[in-house]
Amino acid sequence: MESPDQADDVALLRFVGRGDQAALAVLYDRHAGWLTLRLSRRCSSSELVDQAVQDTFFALWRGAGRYRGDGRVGAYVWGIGIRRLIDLQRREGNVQSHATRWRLLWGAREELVRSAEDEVLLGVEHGRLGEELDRLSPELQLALTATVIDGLTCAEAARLLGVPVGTVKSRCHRARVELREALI
Amino acid sequence: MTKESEAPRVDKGSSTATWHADEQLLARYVQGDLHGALARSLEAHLPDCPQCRNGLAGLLNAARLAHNRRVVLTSASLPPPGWPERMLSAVGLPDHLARLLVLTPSLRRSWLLATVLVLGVAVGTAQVLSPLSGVRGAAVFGLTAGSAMRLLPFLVVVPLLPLAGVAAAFSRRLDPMHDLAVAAPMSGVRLFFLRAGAVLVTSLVPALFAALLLPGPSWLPAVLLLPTSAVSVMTLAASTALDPAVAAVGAGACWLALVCGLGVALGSPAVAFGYLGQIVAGIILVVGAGVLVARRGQLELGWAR
Amino acid sequence: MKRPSAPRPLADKGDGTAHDVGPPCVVRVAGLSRRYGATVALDRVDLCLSPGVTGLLGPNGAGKTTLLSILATVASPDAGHCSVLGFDPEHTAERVEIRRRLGFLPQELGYHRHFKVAEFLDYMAILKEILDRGQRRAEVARVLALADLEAVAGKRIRSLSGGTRRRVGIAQALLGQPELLVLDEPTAGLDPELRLRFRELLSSLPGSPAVVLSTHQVDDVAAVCQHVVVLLAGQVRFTGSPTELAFLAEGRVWVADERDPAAELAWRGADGRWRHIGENRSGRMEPVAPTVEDGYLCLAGRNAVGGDDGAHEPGSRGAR
Repeated sequence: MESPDQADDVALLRFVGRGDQAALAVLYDRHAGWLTLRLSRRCSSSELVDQAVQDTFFALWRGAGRYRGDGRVGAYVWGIGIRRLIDLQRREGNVQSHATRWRLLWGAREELVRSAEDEVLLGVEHGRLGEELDRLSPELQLALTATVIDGLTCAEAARLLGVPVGTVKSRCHRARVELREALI
Repeated sequence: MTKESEAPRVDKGSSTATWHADEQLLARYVQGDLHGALARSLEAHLPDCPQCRNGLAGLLNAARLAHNRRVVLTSASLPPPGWPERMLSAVGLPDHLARLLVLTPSLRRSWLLATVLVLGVAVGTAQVLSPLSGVRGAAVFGLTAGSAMRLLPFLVVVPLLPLAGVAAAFSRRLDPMHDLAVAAPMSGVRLFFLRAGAVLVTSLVPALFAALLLPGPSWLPAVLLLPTSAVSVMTLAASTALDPAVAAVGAGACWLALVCGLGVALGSPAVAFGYLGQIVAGIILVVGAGVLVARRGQLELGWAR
Repeated sequence: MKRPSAPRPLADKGDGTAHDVGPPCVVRVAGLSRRYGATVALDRVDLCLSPGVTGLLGPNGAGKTTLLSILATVASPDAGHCSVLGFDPEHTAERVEIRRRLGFLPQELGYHRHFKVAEFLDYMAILKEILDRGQRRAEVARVLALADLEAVAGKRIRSLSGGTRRRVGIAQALLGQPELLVLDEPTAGLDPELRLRFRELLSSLPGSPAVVLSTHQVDDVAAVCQHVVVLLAGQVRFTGSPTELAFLAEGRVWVADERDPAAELAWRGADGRWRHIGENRSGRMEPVAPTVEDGYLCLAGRNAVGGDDGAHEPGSRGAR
């Protein structure tokens, strides 16, 4: 019987689902760091981020038994975390300022001169697509990033960015069209 | 060409299996110096790559992580809420109010069972007894005095139930946390009304349901409402000056005295539930509520009077 | 046996003036009296408690619990008045203000039977008006860490040992960062190691609250209290620092290999020699520097049997 320390993420979730608090602690130690960072880049309020992180792991504690995923526990954790953050932002009411922060974080363009390592990194997840995304206009970039990269639905992305759902959908569509043309 | 719904993702070739972020890249990310496509790539890579996650370790705010960790583990130590609490939260009550209500001393299983038992006995008595004949006294709401008599045990007992609940809810003996609660800032009006409200609802609702089971006209529950509320509010109003248990006993004694007095004088205490009785009850209710609201500053748990 | 005169004002810094020249009183009590039926629990008590840790010493029945209950606004006095943190508990609104800044540990910790540690603390935090759930969880987490209870946070309180239960009580008193801690016998029944941890906890409390604790254990007082109040039969017999209490016995403590029948109090110490308090009539005993316990015993004499723990059993009981 492997101990929670050595278990892989899926087995760890199983331990957590069985009520093993030590497993919850290990899960936290593995994932809270990157989650906090990634959420902080989407929200300027550290209290909201703290609360989102706490609520995420609490939700994992209560609902670990329900995990039916493909083994990418990290992505699962992210899904819970970003949705919780959006919920909290919405309740706090100040969606506009959060959306602004979001734009500032993502809108900055990376410098044109890249090292060899950067090239490899780009190739890691998205290939040429990543580069092309950068060349889109900011709104299109944001819409596509929110839905595709962060894995939100159009409705959730709409809430995050503070625009109507229809706008998000049309922007996603235009972004995809432009990307397709750029890649062909 | 990628499908609309799929993430635009390149096949993960051998380069990705062996690629990991170096310290510099992670440091840039943590400091916020990484943007655009590079940042997106890294962010998508991190969650499921243990090696890169560990690489972050030295760069994070340890105190903040430790604080959140403690909160998470504390929350995990709390038992999941029971169904009454979940129900209260579902109707929108903030969770601290739900907790306070659920932990009212006279809302324990034993008390609720006792309430149900008493009601059951009263209803049973009413069912078993047949209408008495030869009882003098006016008819009440269309019921003859005789048939009203067999409902009497029930009618007399119901107003006493909330009183017993109130006495128990503020009793030092039944509340193991009494002293701690007294020394806490919330030992005042708020707690009082919360507990009183919980007691009233949990005594009245079963009583009204039980009233529907009685052999009698279907408006019976309505007849009960005013007198019961009047007696309860009088008790609460008296609690602004006396110990709640004393007030409850006193109000109960007054009610019984009234009932007995009417029985002796008029042959049947059912008049207390008649038109006149309802009006008088209504007046008492309003007066009592007024006194309660006016003197609510005096409500307090435990401070010796 | 000499009896000290009326209670001395605290922190009088030796200049002997009639004024209270020490730091302002955190708690001031004047003419406090309370009786339960025929028993007089407190008899015209006058006190001024300074910031820091104050120990309330006295045997069972001396009125310590009554005094602490009054300070914690749990009981009301029959006569006299008091001022706690500048507020008067006689007035409702001020009473609430005191309670907002107060942490109270009663002698018997009450809790619902099914309560687990974290659940109990969460409920107490609600009673202390920490209503926001996130804030409450964080505060509970904080006191769990302070009182070293993280390992048992999910256990039922009734399944814990006495010492751990006491720590739960202390944790609850620390919720909300009180300015005044009123602890009734916090170390009763604890073994020496736990008492040591308790002392460490007291001396490292964040926010430096004023602490009043009652005890029979003289060594707790000597180790952790800056001020001592000795209460006997409902009356204050001494206020001052532990050193001053020890000084009361100056010149009256002697050690010898044999028990001297002429001494007032005598008992056998750990080193096998007999310790005496009183006069050295035989002239054959060695003088020795007095400890705080000696000073206390001077005051309490044969009445200070020290309660259940038998920490000190002087006089005729000490005979082997």
